[in-house]
This record gives sequence, C-alpha cells and structure tokens, in this order.
Amino acid sequence: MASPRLENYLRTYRKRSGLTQREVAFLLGSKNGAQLSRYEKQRRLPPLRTALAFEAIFKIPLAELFAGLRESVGREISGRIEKLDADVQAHNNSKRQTRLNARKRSWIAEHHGPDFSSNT
Amino acid sequence: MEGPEQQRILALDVRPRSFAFVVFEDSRQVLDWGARSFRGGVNAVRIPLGPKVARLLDEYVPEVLVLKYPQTKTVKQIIQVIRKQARAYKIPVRIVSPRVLQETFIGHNRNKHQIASAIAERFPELLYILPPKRKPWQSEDYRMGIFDAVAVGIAYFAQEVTESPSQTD
Repeated sequence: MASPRLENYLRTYRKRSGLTQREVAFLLGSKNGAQLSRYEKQRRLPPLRTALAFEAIFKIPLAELFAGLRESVGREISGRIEKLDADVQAHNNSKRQTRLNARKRSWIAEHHGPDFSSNT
Repeated sequence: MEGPEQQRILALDVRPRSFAFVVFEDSRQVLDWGARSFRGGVNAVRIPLGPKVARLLDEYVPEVLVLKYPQTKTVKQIIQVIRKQARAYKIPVRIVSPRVLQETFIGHNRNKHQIASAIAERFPELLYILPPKRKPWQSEDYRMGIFDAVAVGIAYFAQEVTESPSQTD
C-alpha cells in the first residue's frame, strides 16, 4: 500500500533544484533561511503569500507542494460535505426550500462525486 | 493494490562515525538525502546518533528502515542503536545482504564510482552531489555514502519486487 503523503515537499523540490535554504529565502524576500527551515520541517505553516511564492519559485502546484496537507483538508471537507448533504436532505419544509435543496444537492453530486446525493 | 515499490523508505549507509541517508517515496523518487556525523572523542558532535536517526524517522515517517548488512563489530553496535530508535517508532528494519546488492548492480559493479554514476543517471537530481573519481591516495568523499544508501534502497525495492509475488501465494 502507498504511504500517506508528507505534509509538504518543500525540501524535496528545493534539493532537486540545487538551491540552498538561504537562496530560497532570498527569493522569498526573507532575511535568512531560518523560517524556511521551519516550513520544511513542518513546524510552521507558511502564510498564503509565502505558499504562493513557493509555487512561483518551484513551478509546482500548491496541491502537490503541500500534498499531505491538501489530502487532510480534502478528507475533512468530504466529511463535512457528507454531513451538509444529510442536513440539506432532512430540511425540505417548503416548496421553495425543496427546489433550493435540490439545486444544492445536484451541485454537491456534480462537484464532490455521485456518492453524495445518490438517494434523491 | 499497490506493491512494495510504492512504500516510503529510509535507507541508511552506516559508517563507524557517520551515516548517510536517502528517503525514497517509491522506487523511482528520492525525497531527501544527506549525511550525518556522530563522531565522538575530542571533536564529538553535539547531537548523538540516536536523536539524529529519530529526527529522520519523525520527519519522514517511513514504512521501512533499510540497512546494509553490517560488516564490522563497530557498525553492528551502531545498528543496534538505530534498531532501538526504529522500535520506538514501530518501524520495521530490513537488512539488505551484500549478495542482493551485488545482484542489483550486476553489469555496473566494477567499482563504487561506476555504481554511483549509474545511480546519478537514474536519479538526475543526485548528479550535482556525485563526487569526482577518487585518486588512490585520497580518502573517500563523504558524499559517496549517499550513493551507497541509494544503492541499498534500490536493492531493497528490487528484492521486495521479486519476493512479493511468492508472498501472495
């Protein structure tokens, strides 16, 4: 079975590029590589601006750079989508509400797979 | 179902005063590599062997820790310390025998530099750390340990792939 992905692959892509932490820190606009080291060791999460800067530096999509984090967020969202879907299904008080809920459920089925909203 | 070549492994090449490591995501991808010293005596390093291995295990959470069969008593003792760390993290340890290593690099096994060059060809990201060919009067470059660790990892995957069909029988 494949191992769960690491939270981020910043070190992997940096080492593949041959750049040092100090050089990447320079590209990020930091004074030194200390904060980058924390990001690489998964001790700190970079702010959105820095995360986008990583994407721009390594030319790798954020979802791939932060693969493990993306997966865990995806799992959390899937759980909540399931709950939301059940909630929407349970609340069909008026005709208008029914139409609105049907729209929501079809959107969920379209964007989050047919597993949800399958029993409409 | 995905096979053993999909595992994340930590391959180590242990020397009496240092070790080199390589982290594989699967048999075709290396995530990280490097060398760590744990020399003692007057110039002892601040962080000893145990915590250095533990840090790697903690950071990469490998499924298997792969080591080369120890040839000397000192290395055997060092491997005991590494095994203890792996046990604490509940990570199984696999030992690759010299025979498996030789069989994996059949055709390239004329000398270590040729094996390292073959590895650098397979993993181009390691090309920039390939040390120049050693002169007979020079000692071995520390980076050669990284290539030895990669060789251990490749041999492990080769061994697992050949053995896994028989395990399912």
